[in-house]
Amino acid sequence: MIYIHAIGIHNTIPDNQLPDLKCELKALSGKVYRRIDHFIQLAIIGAHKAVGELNLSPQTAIYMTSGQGDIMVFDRVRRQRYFQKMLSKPVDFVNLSSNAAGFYVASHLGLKGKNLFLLHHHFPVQVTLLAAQNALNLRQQKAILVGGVDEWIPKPELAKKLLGVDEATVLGEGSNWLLLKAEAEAALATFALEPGTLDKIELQRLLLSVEAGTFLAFGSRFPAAEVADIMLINKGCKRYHFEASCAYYETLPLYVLNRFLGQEQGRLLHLDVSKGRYMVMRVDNNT
Amino acid sequence: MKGSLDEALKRRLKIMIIEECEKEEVTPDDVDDDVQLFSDASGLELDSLDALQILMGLQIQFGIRLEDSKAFRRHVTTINELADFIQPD
Repeated sequence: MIYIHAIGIHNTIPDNQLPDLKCELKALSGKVYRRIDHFIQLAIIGAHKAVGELNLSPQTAIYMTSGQGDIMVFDRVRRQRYFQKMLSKPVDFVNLSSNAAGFYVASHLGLKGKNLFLLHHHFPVQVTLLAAQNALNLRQQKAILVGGVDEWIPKPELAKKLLGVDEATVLGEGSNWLLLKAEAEAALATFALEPGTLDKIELQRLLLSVEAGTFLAFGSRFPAAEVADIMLINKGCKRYHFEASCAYYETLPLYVLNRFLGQEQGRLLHLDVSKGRYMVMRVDNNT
Repeated sequence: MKGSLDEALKRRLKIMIIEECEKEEVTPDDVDDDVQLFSDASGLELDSLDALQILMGLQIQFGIRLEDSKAFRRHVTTINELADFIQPD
């Protein structure tokens, strides 16, 4: 069994203006960082909200994911290189390394453990949590800080193209983190993830087996009609609504889990879908 | 006009350095025209990554391309010398 020991939420719906995270980061942590961009600032803020006040073991691992990564810097470097025929700035080049943000989070928290940046189209959160779950179950790690970070960008066309979402989708930004351990003492909740993708029949079977009163949350890619169908499978389940509190970003499932744990008491199944296959995560803070 | 006599140019250079190196706590007035930029006396605490950032800033904002580290060390010493290199007369 895997246990959640801390959660941190940073979730915003920017109003046509990039939030000034440099000031927020300074106010939150009391530290001034140079050479870090918006994406890295976002990562540090979310991680700090989760575990900034805790005394973590230096060997705590970091597993981080994102739907679109450091897309603002990526876009700037892309334009400089291919359109303006210029070299990118050194700091941009360094920050584009896949786990530069993880490095800065580790530095901020004084961590020296394993540091991974994982990407997966459509299931980035689930795949990252699956890797964390396996590492904890196999006792390869004692504690893992898992984060999902996605930044909002003023010109979202490229992001929408990369994410495969339609033009009308409103994008938000978030940095949501949780601390996972294999030990139960002082835990906030239990966590479990179905280790593979399910087909519709397997999903139905799973939903029929859950206890009455279980909340169901749906990933943003679910068509409304399918959500309605699934809610009919087990009428003892309740819908968990979070949609009004956020806009779309790929790592939203971490926000949903953390929001639930921060606001509700009970059991939540988070369902997500891609190409007809489902992934299911379960959190429970009943005890 | 020689660069070191052009106050506007020197101010632009200082602002570029402050911005490229993210030294928001420093104002252009804090940067002495004759102090070695990469020395402790400058108070800027610049390092080799800052040097690369300044190199790119010179290229983007002033059209100056310094091909190697020797050229950089020769010209990016003080604000006055850098200004004279950009604007010899």
